[in-house]
Amino acid sequence: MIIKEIRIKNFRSYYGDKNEFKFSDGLTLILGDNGDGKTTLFEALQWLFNTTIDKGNFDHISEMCKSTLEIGDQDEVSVYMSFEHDGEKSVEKSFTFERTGDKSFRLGTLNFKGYETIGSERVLVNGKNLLDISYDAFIQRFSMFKGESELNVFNDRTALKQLVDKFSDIRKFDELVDNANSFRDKSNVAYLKEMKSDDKVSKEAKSLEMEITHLAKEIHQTKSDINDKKTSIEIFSTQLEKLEASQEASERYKDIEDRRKSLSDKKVKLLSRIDAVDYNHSLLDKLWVLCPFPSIFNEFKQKCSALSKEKRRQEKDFDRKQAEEIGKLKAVKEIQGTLMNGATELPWYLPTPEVMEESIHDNVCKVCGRVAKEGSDPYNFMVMKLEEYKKHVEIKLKNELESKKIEEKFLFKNEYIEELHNLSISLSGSNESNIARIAQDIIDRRELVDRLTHDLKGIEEKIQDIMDEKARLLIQAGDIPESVLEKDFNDIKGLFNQKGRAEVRLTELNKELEKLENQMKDCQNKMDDLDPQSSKVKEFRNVYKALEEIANAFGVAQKENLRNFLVELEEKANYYLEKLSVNDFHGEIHLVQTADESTEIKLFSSNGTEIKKKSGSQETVMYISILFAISDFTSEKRDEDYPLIFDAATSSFGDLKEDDFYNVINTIKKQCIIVTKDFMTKGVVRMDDVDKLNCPVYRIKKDEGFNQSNLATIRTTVEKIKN
Amino acid sequence: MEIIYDLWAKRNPEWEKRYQDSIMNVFTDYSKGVNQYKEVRGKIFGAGYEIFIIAFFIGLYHNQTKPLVEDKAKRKVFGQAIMYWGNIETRIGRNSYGKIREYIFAALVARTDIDWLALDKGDITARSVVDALINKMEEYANFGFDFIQEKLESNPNHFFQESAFLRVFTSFLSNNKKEEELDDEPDDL
Repeated sequence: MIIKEIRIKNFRSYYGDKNEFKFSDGLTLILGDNGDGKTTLFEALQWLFNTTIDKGNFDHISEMCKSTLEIGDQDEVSVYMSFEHDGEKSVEKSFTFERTGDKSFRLGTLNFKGYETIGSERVLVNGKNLLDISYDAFIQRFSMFKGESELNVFNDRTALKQLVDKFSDIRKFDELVDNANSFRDKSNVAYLKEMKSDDKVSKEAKSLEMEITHLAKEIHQTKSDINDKKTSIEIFSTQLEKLEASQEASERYKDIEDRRKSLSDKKVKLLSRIDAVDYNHSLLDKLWVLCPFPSIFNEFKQKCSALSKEKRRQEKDFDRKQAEEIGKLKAVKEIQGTLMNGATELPWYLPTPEVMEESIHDNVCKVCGRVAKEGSDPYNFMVMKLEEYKKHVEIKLKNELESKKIEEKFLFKNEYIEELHNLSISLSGSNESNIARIAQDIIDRRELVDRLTHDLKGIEEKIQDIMDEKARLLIQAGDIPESVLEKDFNDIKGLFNQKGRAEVRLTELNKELEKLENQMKDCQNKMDDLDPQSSKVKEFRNVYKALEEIANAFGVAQKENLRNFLVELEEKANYYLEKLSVNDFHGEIHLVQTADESTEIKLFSSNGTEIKKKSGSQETVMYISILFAISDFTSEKRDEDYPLIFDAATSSFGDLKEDDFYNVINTIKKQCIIVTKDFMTKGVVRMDDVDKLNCPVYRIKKDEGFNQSNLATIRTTVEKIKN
Repeated sequence: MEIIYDLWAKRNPEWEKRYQDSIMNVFTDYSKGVNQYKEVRGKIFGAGYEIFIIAFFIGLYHNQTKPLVEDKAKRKVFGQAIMYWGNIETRIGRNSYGKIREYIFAALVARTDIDWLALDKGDITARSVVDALINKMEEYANFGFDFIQEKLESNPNHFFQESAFLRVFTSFLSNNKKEEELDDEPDDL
């Protein structure tokens, strides 16, 4: 199929019926900036090609068209394509719509018309059927691509199998292989049946058959085990490759995570330090409530001190008064002593009362030895002296009692002031300075909290930066999920181990298989060596042997055929790869068959190293090459062509390569329609570069004067800017 | 002779019942048993007397007293005498602070007009002195409660800002006079 022309009418931004594209057999470029209608064009084609739709879609109607309709007016949405496919043909999908109210429309039925030129006549046919014949859904899958991600058609593992089914002769072989196998099995059954019924060898034949059946089962099992192991080795390898490819990203990720974790730890520590002090509880627990207390304590101290002083003063005063009174008592005695006769006399206690009493009794002064008769002056003196003595003693005793009485009087009965004073003293000193420090402690704490809060803010900002960095990395790493990045590289080690174990087991299984196959061969040889009595058996055997050979041959040929197909596809792909890469490094495409019979596309350097980290453009070129190769097959094997339609598929190219790339595509004899925003700078087409191209170029763009917020003012215009 | 501090500490000061709902229950676990702690978690203070202490110091530093209502029926006392205040705090992270009692006592002595010499001389009874001390204590706290109540009336969440109570006290510091004016500003923590 070669697309000749496409006309779009009232499909979304393609308002009116002036939207025409005419295509060359080679490359046709359609340039448009963001929002100019590139994707709408692609989707209009998808809508046309989709043969499963049988209703019009309200969303497809041009908003501008809708806004111009009066109630009762009607118009239609249509996409028309004329093409070359065994003669000129065309298809047109359309539906009508009518305005029935301010906001209501009625949709007409969907028409899908096809026209074929038979002879010289143009015949109306079912568009759906015509399209299914000319450009079926399977081919569409290898022909229309939206963005780079859809290019890797082989990401779907069944794609190659379908491709092979469609484009190679291999499937023709399948029937032959099946038939040959069936003949072989039937002849085997017949042969064995004869053997077992042969009198001579029946017993041995039976036991050999049993062994062969048993071995066949084991071989089948071993083969399936081997396949399982191969599959798991492949899985491990794929995972390892992914991890290796993301190693750089992963290392950066780990670094980011480490930094984030250490900052988070810091944050937690800061938060706990900030929260460590509960201001309310500290009022009591840390006695912060006493921060303004020093002045009150001072009042207390001064009061205690004053009370203590006053008490002591009063006490002293009291004591002094007491002493005075006692002194007075003593002074009375002194006065009495001087009042006696003025002359110096012996102390009152001399002579002793015993001497005086004896002298009076004996009428003799025992001091001077003179006689003192009763009634005489000396005698009277002695009596007087004794009386004086007695009086003195009596006064002394009385004074002493009085002094004692005075001395026993107290001013203060209680010692509460002393208690207060003691409390004041105990609260002074270090306790007092502790209380005085509270105010400063609070200030310090609050300053610390301010500082910590400031630090915390800084850390939170840093964490935000790191999270941004992480997000950027994850975006850059593409489809690598965070969980993969997060895995430690211990995982790689683990995978290596698992892969290693699987490989060891695979070797063992292969050995086992070899052994089983040898045993099988032995058994079969033994069976063959049996010499049956009946000649019929021998014939049966010969038939079976011949059919077995044939079945094997077909089996080998089938595998060979697939391999050849892949080699051919690979060669073609590499041919295009070289061409498209122009002078750039391109490597070699390898199509690798996997254990589950699907195929993987790999890029290798010529020295045999696999290129795992392909650049965007390398990848694009690689996939486009394969698509060209597949397209070649369709023209060769099915004798038909189909266009390759890419929507912005090449935006991975830098400005330097794009014109080279497009000119190369143009030289390849293949219809390509590429919708792209290449060759545009700030919404303006670089005509100098476009002039270097030798293919037709269309420019699609939004008609000027649109209202940015009103969809009904947007309309795509189509202009051919290069023939 | 029993020491006056002990006589005072054996007492239970009274407070006005009307503060139970508006203050006591808002800030403390007052009247809640220990086994009910789960539902009272989140209160700023533990035992009821804690807010009494806070109120007392507010009155003290303002140097303002407020007599309690005459009607005895409108007054309440705590379950624990002063001598137990601050001894045990079962909440995690709290410390005992029994020392605070001595400072309360010291403040009362400093601020209560008592003829201590007469007491020592035996002219007045210790009981009358303790009565005066307790009375002063109650009146200071009563002023404090009134102060808190007023703040709450203008903004029920006022004291739930982390440093709101602290700011009340730091506002009495000479170099921090302006703090109280700022206390309705949102807490920047």
